[in-house]
Amino acid sequence: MIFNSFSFLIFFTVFTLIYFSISGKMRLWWILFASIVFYYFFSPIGLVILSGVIIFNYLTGILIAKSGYKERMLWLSILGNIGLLFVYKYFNFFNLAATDLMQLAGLHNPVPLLHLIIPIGISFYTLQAIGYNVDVYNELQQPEKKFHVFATCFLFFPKIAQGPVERPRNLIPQLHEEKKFDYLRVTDALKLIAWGLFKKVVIADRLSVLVNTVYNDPHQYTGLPLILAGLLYTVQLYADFSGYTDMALGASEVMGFKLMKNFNRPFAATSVTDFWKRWHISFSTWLYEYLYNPLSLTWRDLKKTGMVLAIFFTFVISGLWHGVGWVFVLWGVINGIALAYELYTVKWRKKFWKKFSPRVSMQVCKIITFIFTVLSFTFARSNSLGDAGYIFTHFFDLSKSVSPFALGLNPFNLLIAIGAIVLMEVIQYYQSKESVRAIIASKPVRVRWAIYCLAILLILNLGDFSGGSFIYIQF
Amino acid sequence: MISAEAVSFIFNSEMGKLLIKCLFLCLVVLTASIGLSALYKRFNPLPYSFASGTLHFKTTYLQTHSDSINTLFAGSSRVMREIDPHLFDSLVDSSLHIKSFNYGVNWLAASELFYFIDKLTNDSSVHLKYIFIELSKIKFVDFPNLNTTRVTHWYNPHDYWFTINSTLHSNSSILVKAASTASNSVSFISHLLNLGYVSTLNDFSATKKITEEKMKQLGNTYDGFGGMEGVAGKDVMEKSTEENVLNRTTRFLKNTNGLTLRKKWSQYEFTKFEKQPALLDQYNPVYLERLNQMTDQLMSKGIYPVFLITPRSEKEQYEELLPIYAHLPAQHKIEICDSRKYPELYAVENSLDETHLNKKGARILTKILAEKFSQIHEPLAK
Repeated sequence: MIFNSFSFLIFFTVFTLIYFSISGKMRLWWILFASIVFYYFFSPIGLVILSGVIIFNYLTGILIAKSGYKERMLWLSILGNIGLLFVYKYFNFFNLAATDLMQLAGLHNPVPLLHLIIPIGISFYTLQAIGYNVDVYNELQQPEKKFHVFATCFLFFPKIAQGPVERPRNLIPQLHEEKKFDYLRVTDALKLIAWGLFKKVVIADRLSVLVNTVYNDPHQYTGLPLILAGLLYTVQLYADFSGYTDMALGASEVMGFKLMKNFNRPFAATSVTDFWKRWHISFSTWLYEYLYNPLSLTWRDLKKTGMVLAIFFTFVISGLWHGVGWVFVLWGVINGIALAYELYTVKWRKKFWKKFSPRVSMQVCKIITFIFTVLSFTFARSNSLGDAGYIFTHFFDLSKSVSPFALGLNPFNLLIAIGAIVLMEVIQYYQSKESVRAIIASKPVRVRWAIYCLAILLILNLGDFSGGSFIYIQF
Repeated sequence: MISAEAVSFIFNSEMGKLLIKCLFLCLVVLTASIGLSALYKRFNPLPYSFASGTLHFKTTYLQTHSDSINTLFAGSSRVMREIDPHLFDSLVDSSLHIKSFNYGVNWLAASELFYFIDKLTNDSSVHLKYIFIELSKIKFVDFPNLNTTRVTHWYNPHDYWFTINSTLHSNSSILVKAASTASNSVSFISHLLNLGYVSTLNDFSATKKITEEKMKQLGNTYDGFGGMEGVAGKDVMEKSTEENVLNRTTRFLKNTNGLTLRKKWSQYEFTKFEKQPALLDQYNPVYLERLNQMTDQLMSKGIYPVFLITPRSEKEQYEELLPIYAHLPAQHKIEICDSRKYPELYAVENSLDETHLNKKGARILTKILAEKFSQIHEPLAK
């Protein structure tokens, strides 16, 4: 049951009506029940695995706080969660790599491949679980004793499939609070859901037609189609993931919960470091808090080199987290190198850009960062290193001239896609200065209703409702 | 869990106000969508066959070969795989000058099929004399397919009402009736809201291109038949679909119990109705009325309809369809699904999979059909 489906619309409408019709204490149980139903639709077996994860982390959290073996319990929880993630997501990747290496040495790898289906959201909930145990260990939060509260925190349906990587220390206290119906909050949340849906079905799913056409068989193309697909994939990924996040945040807000913000106009970033402060914020701050910080502390004697090593290691892990394959490792490495470069050259770059007016230097930096983002995402989207290599070496090759209109989107649809992207950027620009929802709310009723009707009609008519799943759900 | 107080709370609170506003907004959007839909039809009419590549391909072929094709076999994949137009044409009386075409398409069942029959027979570029129509039970739309173009494209108020009304008068369980009413209503609303219309236009432009390429490749000998031997043969499907079918054949041959069961269902249901003919009066009146109306309309246009129930149906299909079938005029129906009379149509060696015949089975069925058609046609001719 994905957010951009009729089944979710029906599910969420029924859920909300009942949620606000029952007493405060029952509401938590109702969220838990609805979340179980929601997850069950994705994967009944995944629900069993997730239940195991919840029980395991519930116990380790209590043991970390109460037992005399705090550190051992922490390591047990970390290894348990990483172990699970490794078995389901990475075992076959490393096993195949081992087979390749052994073949080079003329040896046979006796370890068979596992045939397991990756449970939806495993990459997200294992990170949350590790964060929770570390927080309990560092006494940043008390272990949650009420099992149903703890289970709801992990199963909470708006974020279970694709995040945000919510910190239990943020969500658990909210689960203890009694939520009331607030007209303004709910209407604001509904607008956010509609905005997310617009990004997903009008922009992301439309662009996916062109992007998939090129990336599924890149060797058929050279030059413009490759550049266009790389460029549009970056926008597609953003519209898809931020659209999902908006819907997740909106759905939570309807119930009265505030989840972490995940995006902050990433394409306005002036450096790669800045980009990672604006893109998938809940994940990048998790990496910063639970991986980069401990690593840089451990290697602090190495001074700047220690920091660079920590950045590099963090981004390799980030790449692997995003997907299983060498293209993702390389994507992480490239980002690690870029961040390391920026760390080493921070003084020099400041000095250099002082020669230009701040406005010019900022715009140039934005363009450079955006080009870097497009190039790095080209690795992440390519099906193999071979494909990525081909794409990079044929960006400026004009030998196969394919019209951009022969890539699955006719001129009218390409125009709609471009118009929608411009609209998205304009609205986000205004949003960064003042709440667009507040601006709309301040307009007379007729204008407001005209905007709502037009927005809904645009989504219904221009959207792609053929059931495209969200990209980040695979991670 | 939800008390009367809670219900009163919904309607007297801020939440109630919001609900009423949302409902009003939905009404405004729906009205605007209907207006937009009229505009779309006026300025950019999609052909009625836009919903899938195969549908469009077969319809286009039919329209462009209207001078020669005068007979149609319309229905689901069973029709597509089990009726061979070339063989049929060679077996029926040559003086009838029959040139038939297989309009079988995967999942083309009532009510979508009836929609297409209306469209085809009102299409001035299609000239038909006979139409063989497969009967099938109205089913609910499964969840994953709810928003797809293929599911939502055909809903007009008339066909939607027939679907709901017929479902409610069917022998299905209350749960199935509820699921069918809900899913068909969602599909109807999706249609009214023009859900994903512009993307559909884009998809159609791709479909159109593929159709033009296929038409060039296939020339004039194409008859729409999609029979398969169990090895890749001539049909309209993509290679991956062929592979899927072959996998199905392999799976079927490992365990043929499903076919045995279908044979037993046919035997059981026909025997049951023979022993208790009073049960035949418990028919679905809405469905029968639609078939009678269709017959009258087709006959008034000079098209002779023949209704069929294809072999290997589910038990519920027989239960629903046999009483309706019994009340159809004898000259407008051909019975080809009784496993007692036609055991060869339920034989493993004639099977592509549990529900479909292979080419050998298709030849047997087509012969039976041609023979029976001659039997009902001769008295008519006299």
